[in-house]
Amino acid sequence: MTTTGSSVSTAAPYYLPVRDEVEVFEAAYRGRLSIMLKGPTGCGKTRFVEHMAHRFGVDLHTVSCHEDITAADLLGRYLLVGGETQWVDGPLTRSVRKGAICYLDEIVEARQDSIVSIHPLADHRRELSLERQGGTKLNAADGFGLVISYNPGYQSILKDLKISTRQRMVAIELGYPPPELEHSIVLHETGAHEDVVGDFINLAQAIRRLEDSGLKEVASTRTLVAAGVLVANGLTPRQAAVAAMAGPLTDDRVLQDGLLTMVDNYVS
Amino acid sequence: MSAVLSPEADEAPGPSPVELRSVAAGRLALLGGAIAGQKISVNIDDVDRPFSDGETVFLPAAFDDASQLLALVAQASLVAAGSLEPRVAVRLIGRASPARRYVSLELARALADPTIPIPNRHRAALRIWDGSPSSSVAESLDMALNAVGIPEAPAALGTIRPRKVMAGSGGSGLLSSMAKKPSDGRQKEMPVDELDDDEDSEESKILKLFSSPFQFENPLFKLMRNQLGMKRRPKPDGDDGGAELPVAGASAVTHVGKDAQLMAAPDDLDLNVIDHEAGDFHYPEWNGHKGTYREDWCAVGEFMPAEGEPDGEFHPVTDFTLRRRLASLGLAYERHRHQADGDGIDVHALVEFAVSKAMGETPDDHVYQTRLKTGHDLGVVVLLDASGSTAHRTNGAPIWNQHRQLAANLIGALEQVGDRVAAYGFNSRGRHHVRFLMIKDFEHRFDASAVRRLATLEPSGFTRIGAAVRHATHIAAEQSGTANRLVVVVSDGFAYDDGYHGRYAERDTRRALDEAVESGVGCMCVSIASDTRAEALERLWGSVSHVRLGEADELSRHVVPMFQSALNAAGSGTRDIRDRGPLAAAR
Repeated sequence: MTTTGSSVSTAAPYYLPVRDEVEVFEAAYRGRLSIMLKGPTGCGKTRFVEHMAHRFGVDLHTVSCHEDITAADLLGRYLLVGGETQWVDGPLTRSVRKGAICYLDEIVEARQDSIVSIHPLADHRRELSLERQGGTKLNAADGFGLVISYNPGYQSILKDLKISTRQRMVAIELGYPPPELEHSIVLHETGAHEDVVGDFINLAQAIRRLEDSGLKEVASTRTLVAAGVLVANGLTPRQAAVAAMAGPLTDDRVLQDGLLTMVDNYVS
Repeated sequence: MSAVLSPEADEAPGPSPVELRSVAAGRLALLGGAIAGQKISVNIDDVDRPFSDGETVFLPAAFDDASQLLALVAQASLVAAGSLEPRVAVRLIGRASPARRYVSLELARALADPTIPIPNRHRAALRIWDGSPSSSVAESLDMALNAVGIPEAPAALGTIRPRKVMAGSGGSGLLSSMAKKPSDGRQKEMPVDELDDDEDSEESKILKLFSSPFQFENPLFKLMRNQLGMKRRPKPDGDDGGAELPVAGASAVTHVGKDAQLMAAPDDLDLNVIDHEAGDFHYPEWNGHKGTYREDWCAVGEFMPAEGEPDGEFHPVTDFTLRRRLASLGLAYERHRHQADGDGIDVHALVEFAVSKAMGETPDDHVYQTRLKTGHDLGVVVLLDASGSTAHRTNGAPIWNQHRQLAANLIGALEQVGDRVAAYGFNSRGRHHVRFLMIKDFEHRFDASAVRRLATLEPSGFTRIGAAVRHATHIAAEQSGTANRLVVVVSDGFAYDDGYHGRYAERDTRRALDEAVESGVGCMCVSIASDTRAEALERLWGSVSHVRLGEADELSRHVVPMFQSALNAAGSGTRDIRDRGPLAAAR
């Protein structure tokens, strides 16, 4: 498990709204509702949360969930410190006490028991029950917000979110931004040349049109940014597109050849 | 980094021209698919000019790489723009020049569409018509036919081959419109060059229309056949003709004595009945119109087909990629004792450790036990559609051959990684005659005799998928003995039988799949180069994993997510397979 607590810094993380997601997030947060961000890998879910946390001036605790995350990892546990036991808050408990936004990234990866532990927090009760501490109940401080992200790709068939969890959430659906917006995002993030970015965007648009190709994912905004960064650091556009966009998508030889052909055709 | 992806990194010395063509085709297919916005196969062949049937782009082998690329981009753009519309194609039959003007206009329309990602570097070459682009296919056709100074597209970009378009999957409804007016003067005026242009095609549907002994049969039959995707090559010997025509179309079902027809159907397999002492298996069928089950509606019998020699086109091969990917699926935890580390103490090992230490020996310090996902706990029933519709040819070979190859690859790979697998062919001739043709059951190996049985299966009859899925589910549930159970249907994904078609068949099939999933048996459908339309596949198989492949060896790319999602759908609610099955008991 990785948790990161970011404190309020001066510059807001860059986020370019695509639709009404900022308004919805703001209304839900002020109305003390929990938020579910849906969207494909690398479309900007995490960046969006960072941006919003900064906007509200609260701390953000991010938990990247995986299948071995237990409720104790989120809530806290007793540790042995010098022969004595000492309670250590988990990231969720810490957010509840301090009134920060807790962001559970890729929540479906976590075990069901840990997902259920957020239920009383996510609905009107806004309280956290620490069974390990004799059932201590913590009421969420002002400013606490719960945000989960969830990627409804084909993963969702493998691991779907329980209805009881989904019902407690306000859903914000994010997708890859339309080409013009994606263009400005990549320009802003990388400082690569406009035409090069345009080529990358065209390539990404083409890859996203592929159906039944055997690719598990398509080129995301994140990979576009990565390609732009590589160009800004001296690689040719072709090298960058191969390394950052085509390479990560597949290990399959035939698909790699196909992607290379696409790179050659879209990137000059 | 680029070296990793470099296509020439490990090219075998001196691959044959055919291999080179297929490698090049594979490389181009992705680009074509991206531009077209749908799956595109590329076929580099001895054709004189590029063309497409809406799913496959044919490129001349004589072209150099750059020309092939440009032609591919042009043809894929036409597919993306929806230019290969059968209704248009029919009006371009025998009109080579308007067809080329139409290509120019449609390319201009594709270029103007911002959602079609045509690579910038090819845009100039595709821009033959500089005027304002037309707004629709119909307008382009109008302009092309009326020729107001529109330049013709150069031959290098390819043409529209009307009959290929009509024979492709987009051909719905087309044949019927021609059947209604077989003596339309326009069709008689076909210039000779257009006929030559098409001479490598399968027999012309129009010519067939003139020569057919059934010329005056009800056009509705043709409409049905066509819309249901049952386009077939007439067999030269014609002995199967009766079985290959729809025994009972929608209009015939109420009038024709269906049993008489079915009894008359020739039994073309030398069958040894293996299960008739036990009698047929009876299954209900879902009557979607009324929302009720028809109890004991279908009878399924298991048969042992005769063994024969594998024909030249069938070679079971080991698909190593497929095997490697399958190896990670359907695993169960097993306890491993005597480990150097682990998440628990192996008490027996610890006692031995203490004893040998007390005896002054060097003790074995492997005293831990751990649980690793190493046990194979997956039972698969492979169900191979052996109905007459799979004898339909795409690109020369019947899709049956590819389906059979895929089934053989899958069965072999599953057996080699240690999963339990059974395989049956199935077809039907009405609800009382659903036949399961045993290739192998769970108890026998996929040995030479199983291969011979598979080799001699001949596709015939129809497809009552619901009953087949129900029986396969029964076999998987009763005989696999594993916690994870799957039914893999290798089929063109098209349900059709006597009194079993359209919405009724779709609803029953979906019902059967739901029943299977609810009873803990995952289902999936794999088809190759099927010309069943994507929406039809989706309606039938939408609730379970399904994929339409271009080639048998593409399966390895899709197998992991498909199997996982099928297994997960069947096992949802139980996160841990430890809680089920015989391996749980063995713990």
